[in-house]
Amino acid sequence: MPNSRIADVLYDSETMLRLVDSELEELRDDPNDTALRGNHVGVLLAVMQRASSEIAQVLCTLHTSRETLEGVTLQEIQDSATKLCEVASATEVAATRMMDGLERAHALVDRLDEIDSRVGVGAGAGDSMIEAATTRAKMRDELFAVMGSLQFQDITSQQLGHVSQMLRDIERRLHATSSLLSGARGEAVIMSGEQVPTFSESASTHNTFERQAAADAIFWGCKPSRIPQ
Amino acid sequence: MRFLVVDDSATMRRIVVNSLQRVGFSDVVEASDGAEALEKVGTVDFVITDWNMPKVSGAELTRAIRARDETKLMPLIMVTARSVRDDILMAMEAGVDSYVVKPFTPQVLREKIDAVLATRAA
Repeated sequence: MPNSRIADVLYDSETMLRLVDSELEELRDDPNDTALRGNHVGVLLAVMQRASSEIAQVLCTLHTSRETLEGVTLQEIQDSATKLCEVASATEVAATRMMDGLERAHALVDRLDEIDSRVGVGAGAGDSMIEAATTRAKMRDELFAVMGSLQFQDITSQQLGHVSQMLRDIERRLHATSSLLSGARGEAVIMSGEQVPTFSESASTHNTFERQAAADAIFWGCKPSRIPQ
Repeated sequence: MRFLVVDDSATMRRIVVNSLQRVGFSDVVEASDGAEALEKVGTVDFVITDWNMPKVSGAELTRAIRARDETKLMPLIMVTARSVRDDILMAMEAGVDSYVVKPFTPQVLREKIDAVLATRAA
């Protein structure tokens, strides 16, 4: 039942109840007129039956709407909470990896200082040169790993985009329910922050190697040759 | 070999560019969306694109590149957070040569580039 129809039914029901009230008033004014009383009672019964039927329809629709709203919205709220937990976890993991990498890089700088000191006093210059080169290469690896960890920003941004869309869906449903209860006539609703989705629901920082392997299996399993002819 | 890196995230573009430099490819141009990429694609030898971008998505960009005579054979890798089967099949249908799941390592990127180039050379 559309919102406008529900509002009409509620309006009609209210009108009928006023009619019932009016009939009861008349009955009270003429308590001894049997014929008139029978007529009023007949009208009352018909009106009350119609009102009862339409109110039952409205209640049934409200019950269905509530169940739908609860079912879908609760699931979206749970999904949103799960995604937000993933974001918090990914942020923590990335921060820890970066901190670990920077601490290792710092230790490598200390190592380079030691090598410089040794070379300064003329001890084992050849070996020190090799060790210094190896240490610098390790430091580059560490710094690059820190840079790679920054990919979490792109992933969490997509996860937050997904949560944002789910919240907009919930907002839309709550607004529709609010309109239903207030009897508003289904006017166009401008929801907050509507935009083209630029996120992936499957974005994750977890199981990177497994997901790449699965992607390779699908890609190369289905691909005889992707070179356009 | 000149690469075109397409991603709406400036951070990700820098990470991809640095990854390419790390594995030996230093000639790189960038585009922040599909429209800009289509303007630059004629000047490069290899495209690495994200999927989820405003205006023109990576899949649409791939189809547009494949539709042009002058770029239809352009080596192209999709680097994306999308990793479900249907997404991968859709990317293949669009015409990507390989598929890298984010977050990635420079080594994985290098393997995919080498594989694509080897397939082209065969």
